[in-house]
Amino acid sequence: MSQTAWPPQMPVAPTSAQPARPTRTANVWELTRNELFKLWKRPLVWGMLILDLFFVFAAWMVLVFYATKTHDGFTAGHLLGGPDALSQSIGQPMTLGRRGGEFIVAALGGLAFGGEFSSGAIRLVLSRGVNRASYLIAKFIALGIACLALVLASLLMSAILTNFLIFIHQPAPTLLNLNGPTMVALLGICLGTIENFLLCLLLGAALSMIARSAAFGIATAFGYLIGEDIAAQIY
Amino acid sequence: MLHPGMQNMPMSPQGGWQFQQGPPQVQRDVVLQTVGLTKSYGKRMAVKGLNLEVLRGEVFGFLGPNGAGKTTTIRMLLNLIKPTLGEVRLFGERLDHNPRSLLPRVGALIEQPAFQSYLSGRDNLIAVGGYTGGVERKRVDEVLDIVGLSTRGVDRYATYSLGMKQRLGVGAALLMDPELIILDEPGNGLDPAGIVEMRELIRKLAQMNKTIFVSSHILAEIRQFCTRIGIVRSGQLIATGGVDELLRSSSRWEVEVANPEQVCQLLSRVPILQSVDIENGLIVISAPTIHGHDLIRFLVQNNVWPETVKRSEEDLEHIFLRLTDKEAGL
Repeated sequence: MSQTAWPPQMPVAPTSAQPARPTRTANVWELTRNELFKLWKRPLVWGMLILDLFFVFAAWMVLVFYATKTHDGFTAGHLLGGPDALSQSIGQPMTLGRRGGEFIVAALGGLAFGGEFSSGAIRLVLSRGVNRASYLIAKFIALGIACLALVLASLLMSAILTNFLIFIHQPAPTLLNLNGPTMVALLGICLGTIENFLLCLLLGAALSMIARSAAFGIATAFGYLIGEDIAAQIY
Repeated sequence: MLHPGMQNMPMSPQGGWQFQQGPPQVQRDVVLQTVGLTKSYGKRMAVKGLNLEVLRGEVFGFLGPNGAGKTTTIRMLLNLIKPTLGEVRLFGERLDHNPRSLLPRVGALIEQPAFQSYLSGRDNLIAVGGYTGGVERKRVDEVLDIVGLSTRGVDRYATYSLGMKQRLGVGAALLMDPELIILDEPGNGLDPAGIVEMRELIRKLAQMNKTIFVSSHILAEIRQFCTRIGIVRSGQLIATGGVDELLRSSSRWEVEVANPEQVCQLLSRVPILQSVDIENGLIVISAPTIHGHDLIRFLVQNNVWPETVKRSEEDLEHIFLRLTDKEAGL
């Protein structure tokens, strides 16, 4: 029995080899947009954003506590008002909250990349003819944009909270004190935070992809970050 | 292994009888073809020299026991793994030369569907459409309707039953209106009701004139909607053909005549008849490709008037088991 000799009712099919509708694989930009759609719809991402903002809020509360109860917690005179004080009052909660954000971003990277491999969802993507490298780059770009959103949200929250300092401590800086050097200083803090976040994202993503396990990637990335803190304390 | 080309074998013209020739030649539009497809993992050969052809518009069942190499083959068909040897051709073009333009024309459900659990069924389809440049929301709703999930489309995927997940997987395969649909074990893990639903769904797709390649280890599951099946065992294709032809290949004719010995001698001289024996006074002819009216005409033209001529067929399940057991024992 063989197929060439056999087919008794050879299906007479349309001879056109044209696809039913135009089909192609998405480019990196379209894939990035698609990944952003998935991130937008993912409740965990919103949960992590809220957690990150909580870290900023907690850092702001610590700042307020030390500023009102003691006189030596932070740089002397930083709550005396003026542009320098504004830079401090916005930047310090962001800097203090950054560490928490790094953990969040490493977890996000691990979940987004490792989850894709461990669940087998990547097969669905690759079976559509999508180039693996393009897909992973698009995913990283989308998560990078999410990191940028985290930083901007932190900046916004910190800036808003700063305006409430005046109700707690006087004198205090407000956004009215914003000037060029302050903006540059804050931009530097934001860029530094984004850089840190992207490195942590890469760490979580790479580890989870190597092990094809989100849990492994997250645990190892957390271990590294905690180890870094311990090492900083020792040396 | 059954013999290729059996039906074209000429019959000796006794009494003027000729077998009907094969089907009329039509233009063959091969959608999927594998040529000597081989995949080995170290010393273990998962797939050995697989030659397959799936024609446009047919529903091809890829049948084999667990571990026969079905999923490995499908992974190669979708460029998820590279073959060790041989090639895959989709729509007449080599897959390894141009996967980015060929694969978007294929819809596939590979093993268990893996979607994002936090997204709704509808959003999952939108995301899947995004891999091929985006899909209209109207089309997503159409597909949800086809797979019977229109009322549950807004619910999170995590809340779906296994049958619904499988149906969504088929929906994802259908989304871009592909020319070829590849379904890997679509009935896996489904309860009887789910299997029936899946069967109906594949029937519906077949009615939409889709070319479907469906793998399964359950014969009963695919025999009902496949136009052709291929049986694979230990990575080798051991038989392909239409379901009817497979049944006919195992068929034999029982002829009741007054003088079986003489008639047996007469029939023994016909080359196309594989074997002619007498069992319990009946002449038993093993000849898968002959038609009853040809046999009767031949007998009558040779002045033999049979009391009864009856065809008995082996059940497809038994054919499958016989073929796979035989190959396993090699």
